[in-house]
Amino acid sequence: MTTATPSLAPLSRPRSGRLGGLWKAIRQHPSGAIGLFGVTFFLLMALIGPLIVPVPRVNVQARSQPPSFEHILGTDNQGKDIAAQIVHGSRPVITVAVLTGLITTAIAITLGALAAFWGGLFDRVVNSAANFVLTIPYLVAMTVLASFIRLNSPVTQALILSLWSWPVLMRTVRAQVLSLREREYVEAAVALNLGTPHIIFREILPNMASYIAISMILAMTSAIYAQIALITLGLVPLSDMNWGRMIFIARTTGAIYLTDTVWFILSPVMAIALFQWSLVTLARSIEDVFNPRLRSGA
Amino acid sequence: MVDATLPAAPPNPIGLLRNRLERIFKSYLFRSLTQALFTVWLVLTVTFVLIRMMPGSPVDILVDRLVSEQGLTREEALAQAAAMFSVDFNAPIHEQYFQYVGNLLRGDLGVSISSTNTPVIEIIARFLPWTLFSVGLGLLISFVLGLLIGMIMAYWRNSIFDVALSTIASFLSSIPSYLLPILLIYLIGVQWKLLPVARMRGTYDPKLTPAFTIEFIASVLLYAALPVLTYVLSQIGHWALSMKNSTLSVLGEEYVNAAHARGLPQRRILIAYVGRNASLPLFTQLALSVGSVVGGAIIIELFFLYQGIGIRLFEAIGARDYPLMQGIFLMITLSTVLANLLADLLYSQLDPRVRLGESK
Amino acid sequence: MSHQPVLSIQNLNVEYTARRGKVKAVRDVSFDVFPGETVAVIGESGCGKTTLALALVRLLPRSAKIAGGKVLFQGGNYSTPIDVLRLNQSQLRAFRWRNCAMVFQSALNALNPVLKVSAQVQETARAHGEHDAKQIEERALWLFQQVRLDPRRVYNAYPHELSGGMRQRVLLALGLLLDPQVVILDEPTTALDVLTQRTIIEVLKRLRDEMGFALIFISHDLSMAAELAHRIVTMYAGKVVEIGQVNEVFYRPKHPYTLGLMRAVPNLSGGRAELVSIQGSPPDLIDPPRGCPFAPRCSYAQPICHEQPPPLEMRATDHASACHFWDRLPVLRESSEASSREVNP
Repeated sequence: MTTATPSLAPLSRPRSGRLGGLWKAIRQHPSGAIGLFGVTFFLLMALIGPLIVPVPRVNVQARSQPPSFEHILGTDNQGKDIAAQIVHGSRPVITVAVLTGLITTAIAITLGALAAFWGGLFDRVVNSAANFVLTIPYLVAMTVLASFIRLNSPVTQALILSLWSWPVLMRTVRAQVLSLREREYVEAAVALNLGTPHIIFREILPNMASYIAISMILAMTSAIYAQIALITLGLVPLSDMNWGRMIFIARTTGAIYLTDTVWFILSPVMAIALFQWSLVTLARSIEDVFNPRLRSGA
Repeated sequence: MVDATLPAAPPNPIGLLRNRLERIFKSYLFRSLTQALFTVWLVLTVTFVLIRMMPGSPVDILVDRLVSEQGLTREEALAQAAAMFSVDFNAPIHEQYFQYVGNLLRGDLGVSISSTNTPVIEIIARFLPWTLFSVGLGLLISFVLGLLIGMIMAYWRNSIFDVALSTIASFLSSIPSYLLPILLIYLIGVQWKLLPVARMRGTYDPKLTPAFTIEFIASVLLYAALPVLTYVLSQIGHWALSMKNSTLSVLGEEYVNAAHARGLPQRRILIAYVGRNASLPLFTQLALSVGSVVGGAIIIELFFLYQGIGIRLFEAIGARDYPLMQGIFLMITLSTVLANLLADLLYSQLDPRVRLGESK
Repeated sequence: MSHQPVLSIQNLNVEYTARRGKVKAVRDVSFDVFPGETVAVIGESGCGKTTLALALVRLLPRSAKIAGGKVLFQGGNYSTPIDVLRLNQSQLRAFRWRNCAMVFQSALNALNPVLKVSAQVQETARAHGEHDAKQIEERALWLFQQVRLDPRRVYNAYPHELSGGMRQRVLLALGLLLDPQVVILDEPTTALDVLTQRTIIEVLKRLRDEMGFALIFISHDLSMAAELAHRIVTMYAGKVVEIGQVNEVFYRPKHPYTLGLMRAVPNLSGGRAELVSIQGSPPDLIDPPRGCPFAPRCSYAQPICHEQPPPLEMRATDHASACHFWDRLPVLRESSEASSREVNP
């Protein structure tokens, strides 16, 4: 329905400096800014937090304390500072998440692009594999796999997690490559015989950078989801501090039924929830900015 | 000038038959079915490879254990393992495979190692229904409620209601589902003391015997309440947000305007025009979400000690009870494949374009 | 033609709320439509035609508001004029389709994809208190026949099984289901191929003459307007700038914008005159120009045009225009006796 959209003169935007531009972007996408802030916060926490915050120590004098100025999230039943545990526990979780994001993206782009370019049997095999992976319950497969394979290094964990998270991005890449292939500049590149890698990396991927960023972020969220699940179940060898381990301890010691352990339990839960939420919000905003066609609203 | 009817069918019967066969092969149902069968076969094969071919396979581990713990000879141990998996491990590998698939098709999943030689299929038959019941109920409630809330959000977009619910929904859908039990147990059981959470273990009050009495059904519902609430909370945000977006795009469709122009009652437009069209794409998502909800159920059941298949799987993994593990994995996959198929069929019934067309 | 108009639009104003301010999309539009008469509303896209049509049945989007005026309807069950803009929701619902049917621009999407045509026919009738399914079906089949569709097949089909032209005709038939007094068509042939367009025009002409409904159609297709309409309304920047008998308007336009529109259309009967598109673009409707809205683009414009808005006044019998220099425009053809078929826009 074209309801006689009255002629709107091109919006003249007041010129503003770089900072002004940033401010404008934040004002137009407040949730995206919050998401970006959250993600940056947690990444910094994992990156430099452990260098600043001292390793929490057992302190029998200060067991199960509520939050105070000294212990902003209180202490656990051994008197260890919970906030410090959260900071130190962020690194392993976020390392595996980032690694999984990278590996998933690499697998998905390679398979998706090649499936679209080669077509035929390869395409069919990749698609069937994707369908297969999508049908099987992710966590169930992970738990079963975890009982076969020892997941003691972050890289193995990331590899196993990636094994289950590539299909969605692969399909998007494949569809995008298929449609972009039709466009003139790619046809030109094909006509010039520039070679498949050149076409994929120089002509096609830059055009879908936002898709890839979004998918990578979403792969990170599903990696966190599965990783914490495996740790909560006790299927991953427990290393040092880790958000998942805190939940595992809370579950196995029955701490979830007690009142004075609330900060110990809620802290990792909220940390995970906030990080996940920041990632999802950031991904949604990237989609909004780069693909306004999909933006909600009439 | 009258528009031609459907292209006239060729008069010869062979052509007619071919036409019909072609239609069947291209039909949605047929393609969904073959896809489902293929997935099941693939899962069978992958699990076979896992238990038999992997280095340090469960069979080897079991045999080693029997040799060292019970002092059996390798031959005896292998025979006992064969009995547990109901596959003859001395036979050539392809024969083992056919034997294995044949047994599975007959419902013989071997015997459990940890629970004193009970057939795996019995354990599954006892516990899987509870998981399917609680997950299914949770998914159904969250889907229906999510659709309603999503539609309301779309109609009142940018109102306080919409903004508040959108924020809550996006937060709920980003918390891993299995963390919700912690919050629920803490809030409902410890803080507000609404339910005796610590005592509510299992699927119904152990003092009762299963029967079609109000008391028993009430107990079943009460014991399932928290797991179901968890499934609902973990899914509802996703459904509401998807439905909101879907409704917004349908509200922009010409046929909705045209329906108003035709003077149709508001209720009719809401249900048959907006609701039905907006919910269509969500049915395909419903199929995909079954798997992830069942996956989350493993941990969620563990937190609530709800005696479903999830706890059994966890125990089997802990006890290295491979026949049971493999059986549960197969049955869960089979359930999700079936649920997928069901959702596909439902979808094809709801969308005539899929019913008749070749693809979505 | 009777003397009582079936639809009388009086000083209608519609505004859209945009971020920069109020967009005055329809400004002081007034004209009458008589029973059995066909009125074509022409103009560039964005001139307010569609907004006007939507306002007549109050189907404007949320961002739009009727800022004043009346739409008086008389006919059917209303023996005295009623103001459509003052009907309550249930009266409005009854008015739509029973008294005034609107066939949409994109007929391709105007039918619910998940319901059969039969269901959409039946629900429409039921919504207006017609419960005799058998009788409705017979009526629908007869109408499908009239619009040259295979009645049985179309009745039992889903929309996606029909071609674009077929859907357009289904919609037209559906529009006539309750025998309305007024039918509004918004760009009824835009999305269609030339052959289907011809069919639709033929069907419309015949049905209009047989059933006697008044027809308002919105179009930028001047040849179609010339062929179907009794009267032409030219809209520019939300205002009616010219209104009159079809031959009068097309042979002796009294507004440079109408003239410009005609010169911008390829000549079907051989290109005698060269195509001249109108320079520039329509004015900003948030802050419309003080004088004649067309002045910035008009080759006849004089200083006064930028200062004083020209009133819409009678310039000849049954022919009004809003132009200060209407008498300076060329006469395209002397004779108005020629049949409208040969109109050479």
